[in-house]
Amino acid sequence: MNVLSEHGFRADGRRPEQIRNISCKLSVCPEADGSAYIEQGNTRIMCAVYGPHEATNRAKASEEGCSVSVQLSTAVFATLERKNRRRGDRKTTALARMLEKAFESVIVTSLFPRAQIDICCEIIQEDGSRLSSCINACSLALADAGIPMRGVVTCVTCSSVDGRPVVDISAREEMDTIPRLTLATLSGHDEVVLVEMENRVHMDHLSALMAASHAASSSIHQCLHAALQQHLSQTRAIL
Amino acid sequence: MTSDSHAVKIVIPGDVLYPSSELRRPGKGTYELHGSIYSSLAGFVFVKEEKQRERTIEVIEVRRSEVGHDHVVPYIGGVVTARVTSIGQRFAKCALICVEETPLPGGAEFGALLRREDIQATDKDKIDLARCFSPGDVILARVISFGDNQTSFLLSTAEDELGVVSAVAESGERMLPVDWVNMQGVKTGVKEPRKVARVPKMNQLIG
Amino acid sequence: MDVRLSDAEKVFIIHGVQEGLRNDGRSCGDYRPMYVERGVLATTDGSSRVRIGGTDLLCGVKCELVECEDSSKETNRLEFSVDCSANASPQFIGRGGDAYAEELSDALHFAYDNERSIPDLAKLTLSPNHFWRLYVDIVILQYGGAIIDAAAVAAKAALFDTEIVEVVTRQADEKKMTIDLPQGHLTWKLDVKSAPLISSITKIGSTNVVDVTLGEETCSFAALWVGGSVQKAGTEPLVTMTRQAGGGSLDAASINDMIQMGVNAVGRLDAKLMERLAAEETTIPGQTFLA
Repeated sequence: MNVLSEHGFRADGRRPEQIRNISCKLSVCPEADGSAYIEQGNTRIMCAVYGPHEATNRAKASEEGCSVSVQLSTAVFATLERKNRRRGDRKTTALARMLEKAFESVIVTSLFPRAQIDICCEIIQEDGSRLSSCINACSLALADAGIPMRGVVTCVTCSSVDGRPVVDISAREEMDTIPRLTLATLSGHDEVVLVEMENRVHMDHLSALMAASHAASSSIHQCLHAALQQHLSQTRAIL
Repeated sequence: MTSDSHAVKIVIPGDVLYPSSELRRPGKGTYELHGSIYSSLAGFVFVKEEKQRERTIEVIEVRRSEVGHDHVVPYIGGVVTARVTSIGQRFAKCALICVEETPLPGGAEFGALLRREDIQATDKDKIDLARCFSPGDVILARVISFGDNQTSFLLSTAEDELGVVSAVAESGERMLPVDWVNMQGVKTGVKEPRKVARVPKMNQLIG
Repeated sequence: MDVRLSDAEKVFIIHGVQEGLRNDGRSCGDYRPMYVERGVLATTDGSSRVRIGGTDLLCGVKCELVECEDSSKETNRLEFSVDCSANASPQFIGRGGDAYAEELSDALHFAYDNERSIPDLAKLTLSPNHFWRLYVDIVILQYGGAIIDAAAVAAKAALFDTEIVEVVTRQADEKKMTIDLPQGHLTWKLDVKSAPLISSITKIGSTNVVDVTLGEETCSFAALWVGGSVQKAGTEPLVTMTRQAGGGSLDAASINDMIQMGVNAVGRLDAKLMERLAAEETTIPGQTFLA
């Protein structure tokens, strides 16, 4: 299957540099300190943030600052094929560790010594770019929880087809053979907090791919920025 | 003297607020980087004016709401309210309930240790821990340091104003302080020893 | 899930319930407003979302064609699974929700485990070597009391929504059967009119209450889950399951009353649910949850 048709369109009708529709809602879980629900195309993720509270993992507690603990779980009906994996498989755990590292560098952890922040993501429906969507959901939930951060992290997964960058790929495009670059930036600017590459890409195509990912991440930042502003202006009416 | 101006605008983490200068400094919910003040919270910008000697300094703050709910964690030097959960030979285990005036949310209580030598400033060797505290007591204490890996914080009550503020007698009745070392049941009048806190206002009420 | 009440607050609730009054103005036998949607998940064959008070859960049904040696020996046509998302409560982080999830899926399994609950179940057996297995998966997104009631409603609504692909069986070599797709994409639905619902009856003081809130739950002494299947519209439901849940102890004499109350509650709930399911015949697959 070709990712790009002969007229340069993708299977879902997008142009190569076009991101998927984003809609989101904040403060969806009353139990949590902060929460967010995000839809990126058909990928749907709910994220809750608890804390900062006393570290349950004593070994990780430090006087320097708080630790971040991420749990990813996937609903069994999230993909077309039913998979009974929920939590704890190696791939999911690896992704959770990457999220922890990314957010530990962004949260102003020095304000909360010996404390811990728990982030829980529930993937309700999965349609590609899972890691990116989780990061975007976590960013919104952390902002909603009022946890001090140096900026809002946004993330995008992109691919390169015959040297042409294709941004924000869906599950149909996420085939094994094509390269996948996941890039997370801070506040849509130049600071990169997470980068991951799967499969191989030719050196010559890498800079174009990076530039496209960067631009896409900035566009997503604009979306999240607008969503947060809108949410806050609604709460302001109550004040 | 401080005065709040009106909430100006809505910002999210990473937004540039103002260029920093000698007359402007970052307050809560903001941070300074490369000569600019950035927001670290999603909220509303407040500009507070603070008089320092002759000069007026602007303090930039980002708050979530007018009342300003903040996440609090215990810090060294802060006075905390704690509940005694168990008593040992050498230390009492406590669960922190409040940090200064802010109650910790339910389920987010921190554990802490009060060691025998930190109960009083004087006569440290003669103290019998069981004659100072009993499980269930609510105490005021000061955080003196971070603990080791077993506990998060170390507490001290070696000040007149710190110690037991509320206690329940063995018989289950409420007790009120009578002097520095005793509390008395409100119904039976039975006295039990405690390290009593002399909270100025509370003692006035008792008379 | 973490509601802490002082003794005085608990006494207020218990005394109120004894007078037949609850904090939100309901009487002891009333449910909170319930919202049922179906066709919410694009990746399933049937799905539903149920909200009642603070409770919010998703249910998805997936059909799987199973090949086996002898389909008459394989019993589980319906498989229930429940997952407590950590979004619902910090207690569910890690494996914290597994025990509770097990209790819920077990109760659903027993409520459905009889011939009367879904009379159509035989239709799922296609040939001596093939049958459909329906996976009913429930995810608890938010916890606000009455989870088992909501889970049973969600399961019934999702099964009602489920479309199973029509297939034809054909004789093959060595007395085996093979499965083929017929011309065109045809689907059929299970008849779930008599699928059971479950009502949790909670004992507060000496009074029985349905659909407890989190605050009321902290005052409860014990709870009884009553599963009932309505065989014919307007008749009293058949009891398909009863079990005590969440510890505590009950007076033997009061159990009859509790079961009776559960049966009544199930009867009323079932009538409302069938009305709702029949009214909403068109759904937009894959629509957004944001409403």
